[in-house]
Amino acid sequence: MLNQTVSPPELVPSVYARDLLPRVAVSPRLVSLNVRELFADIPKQIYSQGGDLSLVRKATEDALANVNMEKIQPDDTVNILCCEHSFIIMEGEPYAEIIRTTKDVVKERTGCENIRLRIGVGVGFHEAEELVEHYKFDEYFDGKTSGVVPLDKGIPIETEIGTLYGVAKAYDADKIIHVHYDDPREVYLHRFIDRALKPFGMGYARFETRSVFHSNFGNRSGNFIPRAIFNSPFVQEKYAFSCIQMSSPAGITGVEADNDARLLNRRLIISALRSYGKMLRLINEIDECIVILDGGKWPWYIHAGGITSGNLFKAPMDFLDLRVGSSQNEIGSAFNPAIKAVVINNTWKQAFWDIELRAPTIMVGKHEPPFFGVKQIVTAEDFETAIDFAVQISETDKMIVFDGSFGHMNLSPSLAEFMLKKAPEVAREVDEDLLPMWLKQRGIDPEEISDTK
Amino acid sequence: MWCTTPVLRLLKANAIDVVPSKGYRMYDIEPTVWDIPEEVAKKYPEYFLEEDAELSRKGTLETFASVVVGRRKQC
Repeated sequence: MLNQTVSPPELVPSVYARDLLPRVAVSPRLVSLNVRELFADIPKQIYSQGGDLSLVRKATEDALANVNMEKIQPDDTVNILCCEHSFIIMEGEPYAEIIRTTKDVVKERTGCENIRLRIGVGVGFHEAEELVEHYKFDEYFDGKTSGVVPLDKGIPIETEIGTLYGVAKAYDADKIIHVHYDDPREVYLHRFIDRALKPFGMGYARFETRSVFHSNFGNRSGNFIPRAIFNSPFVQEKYAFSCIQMSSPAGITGVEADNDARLLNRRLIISALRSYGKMLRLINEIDECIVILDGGKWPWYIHAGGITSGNLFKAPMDFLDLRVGSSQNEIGSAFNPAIKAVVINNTWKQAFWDIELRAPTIMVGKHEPPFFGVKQIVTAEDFETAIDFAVQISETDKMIVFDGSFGHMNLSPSLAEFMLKKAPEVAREVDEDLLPMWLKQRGIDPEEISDTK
Repeated sequence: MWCTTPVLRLLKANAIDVVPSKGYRMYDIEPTVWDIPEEVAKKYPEYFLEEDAELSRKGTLETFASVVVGRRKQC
């Protein structure tokens, strides 16, 4: 049941990354645990790390076959919009293949030649350039690629709640196609309310609009920002359809596409709650642990068994439960008290990452100010030394490694055994109580969908 | 940059005109959950707009920005 550790995805080179360090998965004190050992009903993947990308292409073609593309004319300009985050999932290869396939299918069916790629990013202003180079998108899109940076020139968008600002480059085409993903990255923010549309208020938006989302609204109501932008006449005139990479903790499970974003969002929610609900609930059960970061993105967004590190940082609160609101009394300064120490191995350097202020933090290798808190972090020569120290100060040997893995988790035997013991009760609770409740809270009748896959 | 809107509100509350410079360094922006028109809030109950507006009026609305500020203060 417990296996040798599995090699995590390779790290895509980036100016934001720390100098490459040996990966933690080689440590003899760790094991791996297949996610289906925990929950046998986790949806089966069509693609996992290093798999057959032709299956992703086929799934994309099949999904797009049901999409109406009459809105796109041969002489139109078309922007394919995507976001940076999904390029961490299995080295970004499946997402890149969905993007490439979408371009090919649109060109074939509409005769449109002028199809461009726009990559939305957050605080990594050079990230899009790196992604274009790594995936050779310039060759595929005839050089018609560009990042969408929140400080780039904006464009006003009139909405039901006033003027919001998108990034002009996202919308500088006659038509737009939205290519997104469903992983539960920031459940504590998007709450799986309108997950399919989130980039319209974030990845494709100016920083002022992002500030509205983050500072003027709560974690549930903020999801109205992307909806308001998406519903605007400006966006609706350009919007053609959406195409979404679907996943489970096991890997990429398929592709969904639709002209109707509401129907697509509904399918995404059903799939994601079924796929990830148990794993999200299980990490809420962890009573004590050391978190080891060893992946190639920002510290909050690195996967272990398909679950991002941020979701463990914000546990044990059930953010899938929409009764959990936006009151400071409920969730003010929430940080998971089960996290006793954090070891930073490979990760990107983030200035406003404040976990070092909340848990003892050990950085492998040299200190790298000004990106992390200078006074709050100690250093260790190598990751084994860092882990030894973390175990000593935290008095637990339960460890989980966020290294980008899907399908399994690399972790300590003690934590693996703890999770295996907890899993059956979590499965029962989710199946019988929580999943029906989460679905009902989102206007979905569990009985109505009980026979769907 | 996530805290732009509270800064703008602070300036305006102190009767300071916010005049964005030429170009696109910054845009003035207004929407808040506590100013959402009633008909919009009722039209979209799935976003809990009325509930969060009420929390904001009580001064207990949790936002991403307030979490960060709160943490810094505690430490």
